[in-house]
Amino acid sequence: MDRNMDLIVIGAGPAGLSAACAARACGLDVTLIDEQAAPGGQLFRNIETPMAQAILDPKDRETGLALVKRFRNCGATYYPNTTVWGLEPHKVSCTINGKAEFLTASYIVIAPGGMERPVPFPGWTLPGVMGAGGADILLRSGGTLSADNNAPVVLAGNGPLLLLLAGHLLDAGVNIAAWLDTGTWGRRLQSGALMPAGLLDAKYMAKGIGMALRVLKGRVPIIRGVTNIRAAGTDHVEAVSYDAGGKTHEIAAQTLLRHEGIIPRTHILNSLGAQHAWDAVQRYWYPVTDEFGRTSIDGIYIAGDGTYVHGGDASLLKGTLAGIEIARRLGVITDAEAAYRCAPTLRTLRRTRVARGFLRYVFAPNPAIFNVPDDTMVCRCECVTAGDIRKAVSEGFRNVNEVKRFTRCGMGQCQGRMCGPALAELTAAAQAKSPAAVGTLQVRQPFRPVSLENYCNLNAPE
Amino acid sequence: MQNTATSTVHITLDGKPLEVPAGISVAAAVLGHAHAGHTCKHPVDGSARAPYCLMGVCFECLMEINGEPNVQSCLVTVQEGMTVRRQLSGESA
Amino acid sequence: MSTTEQDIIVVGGGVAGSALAYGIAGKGRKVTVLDAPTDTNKASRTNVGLIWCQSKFLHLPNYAKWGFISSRLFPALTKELEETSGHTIPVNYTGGIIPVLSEEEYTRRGDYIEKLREALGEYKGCMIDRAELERKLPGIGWGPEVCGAAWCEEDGVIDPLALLRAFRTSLPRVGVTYRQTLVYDVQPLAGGGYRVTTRDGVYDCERLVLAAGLANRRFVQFAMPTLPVYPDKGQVLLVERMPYVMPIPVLGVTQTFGGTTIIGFRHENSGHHMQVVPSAVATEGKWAIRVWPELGKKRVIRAWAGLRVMPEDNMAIYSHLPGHPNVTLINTHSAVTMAAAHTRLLPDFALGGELPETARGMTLKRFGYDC
Repeated sequence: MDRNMDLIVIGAGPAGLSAACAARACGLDVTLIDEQAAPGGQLFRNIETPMAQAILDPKDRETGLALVKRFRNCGATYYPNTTVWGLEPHKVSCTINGKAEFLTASYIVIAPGGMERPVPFPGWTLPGVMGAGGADILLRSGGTLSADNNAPVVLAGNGPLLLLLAGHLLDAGVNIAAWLDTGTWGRRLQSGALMPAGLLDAKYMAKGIGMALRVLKGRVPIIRGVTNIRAAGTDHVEAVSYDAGGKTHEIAAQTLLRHEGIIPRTHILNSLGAQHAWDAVQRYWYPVTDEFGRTSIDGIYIAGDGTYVHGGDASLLKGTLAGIEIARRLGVITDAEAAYRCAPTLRTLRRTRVARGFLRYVFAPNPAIFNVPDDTMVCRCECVTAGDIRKAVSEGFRNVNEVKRFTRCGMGQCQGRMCGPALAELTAAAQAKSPAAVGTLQVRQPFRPVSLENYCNLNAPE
Repeated sequence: MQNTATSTVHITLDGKPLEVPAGISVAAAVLGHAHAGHTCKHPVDGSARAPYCLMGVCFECLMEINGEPNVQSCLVTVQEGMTVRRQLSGESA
Repeated sequence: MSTTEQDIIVVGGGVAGSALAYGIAGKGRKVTVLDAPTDTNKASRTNVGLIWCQSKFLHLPNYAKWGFISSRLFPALTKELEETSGHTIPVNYTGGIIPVLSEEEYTRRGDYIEKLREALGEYKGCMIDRAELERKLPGIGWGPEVCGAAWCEEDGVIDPLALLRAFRTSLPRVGVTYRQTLVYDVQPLAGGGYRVTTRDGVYDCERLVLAAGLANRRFVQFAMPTLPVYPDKGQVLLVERMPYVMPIPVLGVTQTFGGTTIIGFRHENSGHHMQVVPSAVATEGKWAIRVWPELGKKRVIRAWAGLRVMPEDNMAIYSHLPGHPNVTLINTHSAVTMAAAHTRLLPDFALGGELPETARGMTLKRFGYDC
């Protein structure tokens, strides 16, 4: 494939789809690559199927279906089921139908979205323990959490997705045995001062309040101020224990779903050495960009929650802006036309950003969630514990990349996707520093595994 | 292909037949429909593991699909006649 | 900025600097190691971990001997480091293998080995045929082209990061002060001694050891304008974990103790360029598949590049600087293989004594410097 395209979009979530649509609307040649079988990303996963539609609320369903329909008709070349494993400016290495290919383009928009912040705790590798997002994907795939729908499920953590999931589970008739709240109420009260800004976003607020009311009506026992969550069992979770009100409690559970907020997926940009900034409230790294998603790497843009987690509706707007901006930079449309096309989207996005400012505080992660016992497995791939990390720091290894090399934490297949945030928090805490001061985990390409044969045949043809 | 969810596909899991909705991932089929519990024994510590994220992040869903080991099963869509095996030997294939 | 008086300062805390600092401390001297944080070029962090003596340096017989000397000192050193540090160091003193893919290569390597045997007087290695190779490593399904291998019983493989960690953990326990900082400048003091200016303060010392790898090219400039050392780029592919079948390391396609396999043996002179060039590293991937076809279907999980510290004639440099007998320079591309020799045999030289006889030719004199 030696044809140079105007734009390659990676990811078929709200941001990727809207970027492709906006660029096509400006007349660009666009190719969109996605690892799923159908467009929608995580938010609108499987949206073209009734089983997923049944779960989404009517408003989201309508938005998602309209977007996917618009994309299907926009004239972009679409490669579903395609894994991107390498990327450099103007060039994407991917596997399409089992065959490794290069695709080249003048610009690349990556729309990797967000992921749940992985937080280790004792027993989190037991089957039956999952991220709330993972559980939601099971429901949207027509599945159930357990063979027995009455089996007790425990929710633990903090964040809007947990509210949404609770609603979906209650609809499915699942027995939610407890909701263990790990958030800090101090932060939430602090956010009260920002509430007026939140009112700019009345629809979003109403949605949140609606979700909360459903959980209350569902009579889910909510336990506040929970620390020291642990899952126990042999080969599967059987019980969950936690501390609250100065006491340790235990409940029987076949499923434990943990959620501690959404963080941007930064793997691809990290592998390119792109500039990132640290958000001290949400405790995550996000790429430094302009309003249109231009990164510090030439020719590479990012859109959606991968830039900063503002939510799905904002992702749509960010994608649109990136698509239009690339048409402008290619000289296909003038600055004036670009400004005209961007104006309404830019206005809405700016308002949404201000409005979401208070959510940043409401659902700020509690740093204490990372204060896990020494025997907690942090790196699931290489089986490295919190104690191993603390020991390395005590021996003088102070930077996350040093701790990684000398403990193997983050050296496994997932390349630190699952342990990176905890590695940084533990490394920093052991030195009484901020995670911002202990470096960012170096990511290497290929950022997804690719067979040696495919890698070599593509890169060194006969 | 739109609105084809009422259709199903047939796969085998560890030799046993399984009927699941079309369009879902292998990991979702094994966990949410077959309720297989764990999907592998971890090659480093031998412990039972199962998918955690179902969206390509955690690498805990590695299974053998159509004879190919260590595939991230949450990124593969079920296909008619697909053969899926959990990796239960605790060895890295 | 505070000024701290030191006895001996070692600039550089990689495998070479750590080995020397550890050895000097063993002589009862006070040593301070100044080591850069991780985000600088660090050859010790990209190493495969081979302890490799065989089939090389026929044109530099003393250097070839030096490798064997180090290899023989290794078991006692790793045992001592394990006791001092409390860390286990995965290591195999099981010999090493270079697979060959043609009769022509088999003959060529065989001739080279015979010449080496002659030059060194003793050489515990030979060519082995395919049947013998299969006996030595029965878990590997060799490719059809593999017709045999060069074999040497004095080679081995060590987990290089475990070695470095054991050194690092041992340093304070043998009395070495370790400081992580950025060294900005090194200058002689008017009344004798040296001043090391760092991000966190100024250190004055009587004796100085420069073990900063490629950064030595900056630090020697008070004594000589150019150091005959250049960055030699290596690139490797890492293949996913497989059952452990390679207790004897194979050059160029080496399974690690954790079960992953590192492929690559590139040498490139491209300055400080550190990016992986997939088209380059893929050629070795193809070679690796010819050696061990099973790898073809296995997954590459990452690739990385590193810069070796390469003296212009490929031999190590152990030298005082011209006009500065109290400054010792160490530059080597084989800090792992030579770690035992560096620990045991170089400290006297750094303290003003002589180099061991085998290493006498390894000073800067060979490049025309008076030192």
